[in-house]
Amino acid sequence: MKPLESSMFFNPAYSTGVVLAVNAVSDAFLLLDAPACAQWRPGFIQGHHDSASTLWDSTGLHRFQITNTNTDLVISGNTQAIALRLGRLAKAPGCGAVLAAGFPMALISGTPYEMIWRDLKPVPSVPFFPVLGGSVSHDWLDGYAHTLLALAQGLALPALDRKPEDVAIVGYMHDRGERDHSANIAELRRMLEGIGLNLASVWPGGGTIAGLGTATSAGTILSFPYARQAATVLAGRLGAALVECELPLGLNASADWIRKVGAAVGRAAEAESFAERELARLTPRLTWAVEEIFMHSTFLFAGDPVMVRPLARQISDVGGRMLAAAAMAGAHHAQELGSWADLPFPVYYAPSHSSMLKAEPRPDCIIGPHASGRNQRTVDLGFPSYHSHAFHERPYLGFEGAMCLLSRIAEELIWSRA
Amino acid sequence: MNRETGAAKEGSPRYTMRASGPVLARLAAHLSLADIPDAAGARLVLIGVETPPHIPPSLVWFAFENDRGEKALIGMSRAGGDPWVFNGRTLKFCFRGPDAGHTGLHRAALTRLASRLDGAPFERFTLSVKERTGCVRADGPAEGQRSEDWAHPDQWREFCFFTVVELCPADTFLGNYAIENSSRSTVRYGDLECQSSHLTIGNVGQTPWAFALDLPSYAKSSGNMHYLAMIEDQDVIHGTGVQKVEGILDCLANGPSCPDLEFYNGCIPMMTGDDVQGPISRFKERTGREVVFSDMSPENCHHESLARLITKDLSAARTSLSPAAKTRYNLVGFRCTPERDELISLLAAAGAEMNLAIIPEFKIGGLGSYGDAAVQALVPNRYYKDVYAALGDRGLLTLEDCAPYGKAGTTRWMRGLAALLGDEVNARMEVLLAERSERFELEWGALVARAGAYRAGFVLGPGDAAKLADPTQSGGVHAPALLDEMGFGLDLIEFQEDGKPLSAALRSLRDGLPGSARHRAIQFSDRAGLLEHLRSGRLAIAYSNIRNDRRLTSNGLVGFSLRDFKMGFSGALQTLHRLVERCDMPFFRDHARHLRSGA
Repeated sequence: MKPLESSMFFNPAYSTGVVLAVNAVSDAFLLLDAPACAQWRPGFIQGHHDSASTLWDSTGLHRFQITNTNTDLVISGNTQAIALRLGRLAKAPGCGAVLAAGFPMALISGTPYEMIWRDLKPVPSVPFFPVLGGSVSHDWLDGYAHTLLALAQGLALPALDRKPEDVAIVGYMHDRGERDHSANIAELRRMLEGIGLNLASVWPGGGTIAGLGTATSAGTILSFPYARQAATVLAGRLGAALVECELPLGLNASADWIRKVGAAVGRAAEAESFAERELARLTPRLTWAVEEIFMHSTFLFAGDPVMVRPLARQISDVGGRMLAAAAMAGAHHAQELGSWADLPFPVYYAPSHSSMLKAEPRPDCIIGPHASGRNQRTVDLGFPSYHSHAFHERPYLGFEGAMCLLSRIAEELIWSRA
Repeated sequence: MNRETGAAKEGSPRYTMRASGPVLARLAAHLSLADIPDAAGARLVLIGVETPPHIPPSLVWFAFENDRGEKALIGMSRAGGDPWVFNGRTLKFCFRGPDAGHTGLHRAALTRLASRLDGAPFERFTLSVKERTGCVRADGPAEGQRSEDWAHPDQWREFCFFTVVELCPADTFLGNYAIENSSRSTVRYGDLECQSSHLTIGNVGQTPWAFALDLPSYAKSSGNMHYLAMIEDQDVIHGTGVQKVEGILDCLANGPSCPDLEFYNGCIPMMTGDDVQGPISRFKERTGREVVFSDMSPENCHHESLARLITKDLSAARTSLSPAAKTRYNLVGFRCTPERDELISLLAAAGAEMNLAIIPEFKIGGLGSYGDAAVQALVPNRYYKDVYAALGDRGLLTLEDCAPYGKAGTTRWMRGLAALLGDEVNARMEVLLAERSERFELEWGALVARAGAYRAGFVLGPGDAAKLADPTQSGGVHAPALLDEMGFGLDLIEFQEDGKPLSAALRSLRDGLPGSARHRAIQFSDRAGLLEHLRSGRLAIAYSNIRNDRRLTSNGLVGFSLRDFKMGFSGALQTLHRLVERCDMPFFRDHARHLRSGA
C-alpha cells in the first residue's frame, strides 16, 4: 500500500472561475445556485487576491448571491427561490446584466435558468446569461471560459461599422481590477497601435457589459487561451477574422505574438519592424542582469497552466532553468494545452497540496501563487496572487510586461543569494 | 389548530393554519420572551403555518407583540430552506413581513426562537402541533419569501451586528472548530467545489464567531490532514466514487498512526445515493477509531454539534481527587494567540498550572483529563452556550462572566481566576499584578492621554445597543467599555425612526460607562442624518465589522472591529496603541474627497 498524502488538489473549483469572470465585468451580477457553503466565494478574490473587487459591497448590493439550495430543493425544484433572486438582482441599481451558474449538484438536475428568467414578471430590463457548462470534473478554467462563452453567445451586439484596423481580444484572463491588468491591456494596446491596429475591446477587461459591445467594430478577433470557444462564437457572429494567439508572456513570446497578429491582418512587415525595434530597445537593458543574475538560476512554477510554456521560454532565454511546474488545472485541459513532453522539465496537473513540487530540487525562486510553505523567494504571478498587489501600472504581458516581470524576478534572485 | 383564513392585513404573512390557544400558551412559556430586555412585556400572539397546496408545511411563522403594540414576525423553516437568517442544526429562522426592517423585538424573538427550538426536526415540530390541535387546512396564498442574504434594506446603517455575517451558519458548527485545529484528519467525499468550501468570510467581514477562531498564523501545527475523495464525471456514471473513499480509508487504516476522522459527505454523492456508510463502518470496526460523520442533507448541512461531541467526551472524563488539581485550571474559548500564552505565563508565575485549553482547538477524545483541574475559565460567547452548559455540569469552579480584555478587564479576570485557585495563588497574583502595574501604567497613561483627543463612533441599529453591552455577543469583548477605559470619547449613534426617543438600552450603555460625561448619544433617522454624523469631523474612527468599509473610508474615517482587540495586558497596550495610531493617521481624513468619487 503506497503511503497516503493529503489529497486536497491544487485546482480551484468551477464556480471560482465563474466568479472571476463576473468580477471582471463591473456591472455583472451573478446568482450562484449553490448551498450555503458557497456564500463566501467572493472571499477567495475580494480582499485577498483583488484589492479592487466590487463583488461584495458594504451597502448590501453585492454582485454575487447564492440560492442557498440543498439536495432536497434541487430534487424538488427551487424555481421560485431562483426566480425571486434573479428578479431582485435584475432590479439592483447599477446592474447591467445578470448571470446564473450552478454547482454541479444543481446542474445535474437541469435547472432551467433561462426559462425561469423568461417567466419573470415584470420583464427585466437587463440581459441574462445562463452559464450552462460545468460537469462534475470541471475546474476554474472551465468556469471562466464558460462564462465568457455565455456572454459571446448571448450579448446583444450594437450595430457598429466594421473597421478593418479594429481588433478585439477575447479570452483575456482579467482576474483582478488592479493595475497589473490595466497595464497589461495598455501594453497590448500600445503594441497593436505600433502596427496600425486599434484595440476596440477586451473580453473581459474590467469594464461594463455594454462596453463589451464595442467588439462589434472589430474586423479581427484575437483569441486568447482562456476562452477559445467564446472567441470563435463571437467571430462567427460578427463575421470577423479569428486569430488564435498564445499568451504574449516574455520578450520573444511578445515578438511572436505581434508577428502573428501582423501576419493575420496583412501587416507582417510592420509587425516585424515593430518587434525588432522593441527588442533592440529593451534587450540591452538586460545585458548585465543576464550574466550576473539570471544565468544558471533555477525556478519552480506553480499556477496558471497557460503560463507554463511562455514563462519557461523566457526563463530559458535569459539563461535560467525551470525545474518543474505544477499546473493549476485538471488533466482534461491537456486537450487544449497540448502535451508537455517537449519541455525539459516535468509538469504536474493539479497535484495535491501536500506533495506539490516537494520532490523537486530546491530552486532559487518560485514563480506563481501558493509557494506551499516553502520558505523561499517567490514572485506571485496570475491568479491567485495573495502576496502581491499592483497599486501602480505593473504589466506582465507584452514587451514592457516582460521587462517588469524580469525586474521582479531579478529582485527575488538577488535576495535569494544575500 | 383552528380554521383561519389567510387573508391577512397588508404586511402580515398569509397562513393556512394557526395554532390553538393551549399550544400557543405552551410555546409562549417555553420561549419566555418577556425576560429579554428588548422584548419586555412581549407575548406570542399567533403561530401560523404556511402550506402551499399538495406539499407538506413549508413554513411556520410566529407573531409577537409587546405592550407598546409593536409586532414582530419570525418565520421558521427546515434547515436548508429559504429564507434564513439564523441557520441552525435543524431549523432556519428569518424575519417575516414587509421590508420595513426589523426591530429589537424581532431580534429578541429570533434569538429566543433559535435557542429554544433549534434541534427539533421541522417535520416533527409541525406534526406535533397539528396532531395536538386537529388542524384544519384553509386556503390562502403564500406570501413571497424574503431572503436576508442580499441587499437587506437596513444594511446601509448596519455596522456592528451585520445581519448576514453575524447570523451565518456558525453556531457551534463543528466545521469551524475541529477541521482547522484538531489532530484528526478530514475526509471529504465530493467534487472540487467541496474543497473550496472554506469560510473565506474573513476577507470581507469580521464576525463574532470568526473572531473566536484561531489565527492561522499562530494555531498550533496539528499535523491534521485533509483528504478529498474527488468524485468526477466517470464516478457519477459508473458509481466508482465509493472506491476512492475505500482507498483513502484503507490507506489511513494501514498507516502508522491511524487517526480519528471527520467524514463530510458532499452533495453529489448524496444525490447519486453512494453508500459511504459501508466503508466507514468497516473502517471503524477495523481500527476502533472515532468517525464523526456529517452530510449536506437539509437536516444536517455539516452542522455537527460541537456541544454534543464535548458532552459525549466529558462523560468519559475522570474526576480527579489529586490535591494538585486545586491549582490547575482549564481555558475554554480562548483562541490560540501570543496573548493567551502571556496569560498562562503570568498564572504559572503565580503557581497555577493550565490543565487543558479547548475551543477553538478541540480534540475528540482529548477531554479525559478535563477533570484534573479544579477551575475552568469560559470566555463569554453566545456561540458556545451549549458547550458551556455541558461544562457547567462538571462541578468545576467556574469563571465565566468576564474576559481578559483591556487593563481593568485583564486585572479583574486574573484576580477572579486566582481567587478560585486558592489563597496561595491569589496572594502571589496580587504581588505579580502590582509589579506589572508599575511598568504598565507608564506606557498606558501616555497612550490614554493621546486617545483623549479623539472620538470613536458606534453606529447602532435597533437592538444593537443591548448587544453591544453584552460581551457574549462579541466573543467576550465589550468594545465601548474598553474604548472608554482607553480614554476615547464615544459617539453612540443610534437609528431611530422620526420622533422616537433614543432607546433605553443606549442610554443605559452610555450612562453605565465610567467616562460617560465624555460620551454622546446621538440619533439619526435617515441616510442623510447618518452621513452628517460621519462627515462631521468629530469622529476619528468608527466601528464596523465590514472590512474596508467604504461607508467609513469615503467619509474620512478609519474603521476598527473586533479583530483589533487583543487579550491580556500586552494585548491591551497593543490594542490602544493601534487605535491611537489609527486616529493619528491622516490618509482617509486628508483624501476623503478623493476617495468619495470612487466610493
